[in-house]
Amino acid sequence: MIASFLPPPALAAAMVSGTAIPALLWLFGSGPRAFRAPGPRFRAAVLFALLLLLLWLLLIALTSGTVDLIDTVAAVAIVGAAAILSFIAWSLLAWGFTLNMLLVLAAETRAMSLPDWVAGFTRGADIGRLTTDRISVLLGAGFVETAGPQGYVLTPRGGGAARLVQLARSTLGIGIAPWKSRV
Amino acid sequence: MEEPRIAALFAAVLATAVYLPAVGTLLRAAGQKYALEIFAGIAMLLFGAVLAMAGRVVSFWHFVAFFGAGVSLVVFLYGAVLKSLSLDILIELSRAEARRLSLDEITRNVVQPAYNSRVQLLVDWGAAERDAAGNFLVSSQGQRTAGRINTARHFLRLKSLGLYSS
Repeated sequence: MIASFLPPPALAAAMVSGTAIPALLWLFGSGPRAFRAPGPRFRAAVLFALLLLLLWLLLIALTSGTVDLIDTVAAVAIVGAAAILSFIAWSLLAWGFTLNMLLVLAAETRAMSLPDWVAGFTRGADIGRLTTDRISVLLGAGFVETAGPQGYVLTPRGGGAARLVQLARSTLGIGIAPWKSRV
Repeated sequence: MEEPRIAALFAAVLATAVYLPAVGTLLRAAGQKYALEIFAGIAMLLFGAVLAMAGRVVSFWHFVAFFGAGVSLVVFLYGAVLKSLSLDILIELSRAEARRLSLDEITRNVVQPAYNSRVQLLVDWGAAERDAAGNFLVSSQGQRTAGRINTARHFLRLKSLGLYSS
């Protein structure tokens, strides 16, 4: 009921665990080398937050006798929301396309041509390096397979994912990709 | 005690099911402008409406947990389908003949235009400037923004630069 304004213990524990994610991201930055890269570090932070929540819930169960399933589901939802919001900010800082382009330009004292700017972004390679980098995500998810030495083909799973993306775009009022209208 | 918590779950699922198309309709009407205001405004409106209509039968904190997760998912979904270059490539492949493209075709049709559009976006924002020779340099506003971003990245000890494999 609204009258009980303090969150139930399981939900309070989830709020603490969820807000720990940014702190864990910072903390793991000086941890073992394997965890320092942005992707593994984020996975480790979320896993650790869930472990923290599990410990809290065990402690609550030990002191009060039980933790109801609906409270556990709500607690996981809170940590999930915190993980999603953290990922939005984290992915923007680590892999954000426009943001990192700005950082490359800002690191240069002289004016850059477009190919030089691309080379700065791709660490000396041409723009094909950016293409292979972004396709690596699709390959990892099983949405795409390599077809020949320089080609890619959509898998059935990728076809399903593409339909879902188009449905989401349509539902959210997004038409064609924004870059297609401005070159 | 059990029922208000279950009611909160159902209310949150229902509110999220209304939230998604409501946000989409307004974003379409606004031409994708004021996204932050639209996402926050409709979330607050639905939150208030559910509490006003069902505050006595719905557990407040459980509703906060479930609806918060729903809103976060919708915001994440929007960012992904609007900006993700990987998903743009996926869509391009789904439209291609035999659903197959070469690396050069993907670069030419998707990645290079996306890069060019981001360049234009930075120029439009006033973060980058174009000189008479067509080359680019950072503006003072862009330098300030980059300084703030670098401070955050330095604090978080982030060393990668835009590429997933870096």
